[in-house]
Amino acid sequence: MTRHVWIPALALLVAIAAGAGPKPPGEECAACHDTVVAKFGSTVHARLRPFELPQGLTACASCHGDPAAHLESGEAESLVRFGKDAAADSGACLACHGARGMSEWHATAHAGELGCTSCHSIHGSSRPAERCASCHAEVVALTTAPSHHPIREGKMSCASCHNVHAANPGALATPQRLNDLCTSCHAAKEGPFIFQHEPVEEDCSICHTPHGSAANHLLTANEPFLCLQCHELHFHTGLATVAQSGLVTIGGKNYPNVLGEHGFQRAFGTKCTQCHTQIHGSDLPSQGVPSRGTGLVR
Amino acid sequence: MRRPRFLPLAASAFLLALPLGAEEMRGTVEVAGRSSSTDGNTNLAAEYRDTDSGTELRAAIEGAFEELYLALAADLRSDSDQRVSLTVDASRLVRSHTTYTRLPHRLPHDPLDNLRGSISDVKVIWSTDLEPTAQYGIRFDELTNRNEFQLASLPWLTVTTDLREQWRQGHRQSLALSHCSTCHLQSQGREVNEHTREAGLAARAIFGGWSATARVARRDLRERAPDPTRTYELVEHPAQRTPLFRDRMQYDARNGALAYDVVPTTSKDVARVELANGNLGGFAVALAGVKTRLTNTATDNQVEYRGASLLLARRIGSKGNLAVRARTYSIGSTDYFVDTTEPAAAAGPYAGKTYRERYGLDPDFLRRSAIDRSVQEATARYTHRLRPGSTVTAQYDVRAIDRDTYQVAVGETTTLEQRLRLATTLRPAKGLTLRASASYADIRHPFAIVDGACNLEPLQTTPTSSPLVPGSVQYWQIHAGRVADLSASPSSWAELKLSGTYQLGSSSMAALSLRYWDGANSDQDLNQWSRTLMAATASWNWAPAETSEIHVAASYGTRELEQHLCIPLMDG
Repeated sequence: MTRHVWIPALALLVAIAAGAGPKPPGEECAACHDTVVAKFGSTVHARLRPFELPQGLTACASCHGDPAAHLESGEAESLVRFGKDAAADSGACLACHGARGMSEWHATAHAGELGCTSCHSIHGSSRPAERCASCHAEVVALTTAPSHHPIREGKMSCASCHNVHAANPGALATPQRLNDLCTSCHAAKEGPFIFQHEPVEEDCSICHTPHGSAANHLLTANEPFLCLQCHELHFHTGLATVAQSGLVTIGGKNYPNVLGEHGFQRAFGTKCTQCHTQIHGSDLPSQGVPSRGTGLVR
Repeated sequence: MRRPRFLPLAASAFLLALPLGAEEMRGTVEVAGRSSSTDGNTNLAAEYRDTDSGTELRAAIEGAFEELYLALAADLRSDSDQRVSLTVDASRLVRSHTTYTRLPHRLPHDPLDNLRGSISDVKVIWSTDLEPTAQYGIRFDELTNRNEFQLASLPWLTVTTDLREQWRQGHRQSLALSHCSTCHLQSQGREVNEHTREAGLAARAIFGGWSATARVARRDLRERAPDPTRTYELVEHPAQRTPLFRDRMQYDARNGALAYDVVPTTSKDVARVELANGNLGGFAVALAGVKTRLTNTATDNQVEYRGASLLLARRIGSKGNLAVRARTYSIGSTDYFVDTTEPAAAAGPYAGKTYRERYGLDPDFLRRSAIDRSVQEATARYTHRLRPGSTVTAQYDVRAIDRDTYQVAVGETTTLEQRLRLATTLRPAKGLTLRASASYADIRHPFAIVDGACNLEPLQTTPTSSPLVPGSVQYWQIHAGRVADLSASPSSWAELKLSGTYQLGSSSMAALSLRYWDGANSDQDLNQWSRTLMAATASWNWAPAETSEIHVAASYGTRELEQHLCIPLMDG
């Protein structure tokens, strides 16, 4: 870690040494709009410099246009005004941000209906991620499930996994697959492994539901039922190894019921990953020769 | 682990310096006492929380110097539950944002009690817990830093560095399974000292209406704790207690202590380029390409991803918005020849022979990864604004996944997914917003395992007196007859979402939402698979002042799964 402390440290030093003089934002506007200007002063927009802006206008003028006519006449119509249509208002934001990381905005799922101000408060600081809950309440509710990511603990937010400014499927914060997003934090699960579990390579969401689950480990269903959607049950998890009395009819034939009277119930009490511990893959072979080492138990 | 010391030092220096030089300073400090208690399973009730009583401190301070803006925010709940962020802005020429997050993560300790329920007269699986009273957990630390550099004389160029480091430290339960004479599961703690570091460098140039961005990054994963080891038990026939089965196990006690539960050591290189124009003949256009290479440095296995995407969006008239997105990518990986260790039987009529010699089964194979594939996908979306704030949207998605080798149906490697979504947002009265959406998806050949279960036919034609009598048929002999396909993925699904919010004055809002999802897969050999989800939420929010807020919410959810299970009636 210490090897890389130089990056933020260097940034801090350069930051202290850098500079051109600041100018209080919106001085003229504050004469009438002091409350708004005071709030605006705490935002990043208040710190913008002319070289960052297409027209070279800073502070209030960077969005509302040159205030000269307004200052003279007091007419609101002489300014660029917002608030009627959030989607249309975004044009002003994209004049600067469109080329700075928001190039995909128009192709996102939110673009047609929402605008920047639907989530961002331009005149004051805001926590945009909290706005997600107003439309996606059912997702937020899932984050309170027994198994969840540390979202309600404040250590993650919607923006940890989603980038609503990008047009990726599901608004995911990756230009690649869902798996690449998950393994950016859970890198140990990515492998690549010699012995693989195919659904892991396919899609993490086959087994996991990331927003929250009543099942353990954010699984879509608890074990063994999750595993049994794709696999048949092992013989020994339900088998008593000695023949039990009674018969079971399969395909019109009677067979000794080796599972015993309560074999199925016992089978449902098993957890596959107690033995198949390396369910995400492994470079080490399992013990069996007939299974060719693919059992994912080591 | 060397813990990150930079942030506490910088924060302290900042706090000391701020009153001396700042032109303007503002901030808030909150101090709180915490007392908590949990009943039952603490791992679930407080998975990411400290349950000790203590004092919490939350502070946010920002100061503007002549040339510099600094902001520090800290949320210190306990020694293992913290979040600190530092923002530095020097005349907009250098913008830096650093966060440090620490949280506890309680991990489960499975007592393995349930294994007693899966056996009856003879122990088939038995277990030993070497640390029956241990409480497992890790501490998660994350440091992120992002710096943007821009020169006033070169305003068209921005250079960015980013760094993300994660540490996981502690212990977790580690299980090792040893075969024969029976299956013996052994539990012990495994030290965790995992470190992930991702460092990136990016540059963005803006010229005319175009912006071009390029980023390269490298991510390394290292587990510094020693691998756990186990001396696997000597192979014996479960009933006869003879070395009859030594041709069936690749290793046992004679190999000494062997490592297991090994975390891979990996490196991932990422390169991405993007070219965008906000108005090219009325279209917003973005072209992007991504290439990554993931390497397991222990085995030299590699996975390479190459992808390209194109976005087009434009306004149609004054009320329409059309967006089209297309992406293609391919993933290729290293094939790996698995040379299975084949010991010879030490007893019985086949003594001296390997499993291959005895049964004619070749256990060696070339492992070709299921990840190898090429994918094409596209999305088209049209949104029409009925009036400000009210819209209708239609969206169509299609994706074709063509896997190199993995079959999702007999002889079939391609999955075709199509989805149609209709949505509307209405604002019929001031403060009232209603949203509704309906989606339907059809998936031809969803991901499945084509030999996931035994069909009944092979069993009925097995020429033995009864395949179900213990010892009459070996498990592997029926393995080839596993021809029934199973899946946890739907071949079609439908979703309905309804929600409404009502603004009650300027400081209060009520919300209702309902989501219903129903998926099914009737393509499987073992009949219907279906899953239904329903979630309903009601909430009320009241913020009478800027510093106070009351939030009340209630949720109700159900999840129903219907599936057919295949439990083979055989011994082996």
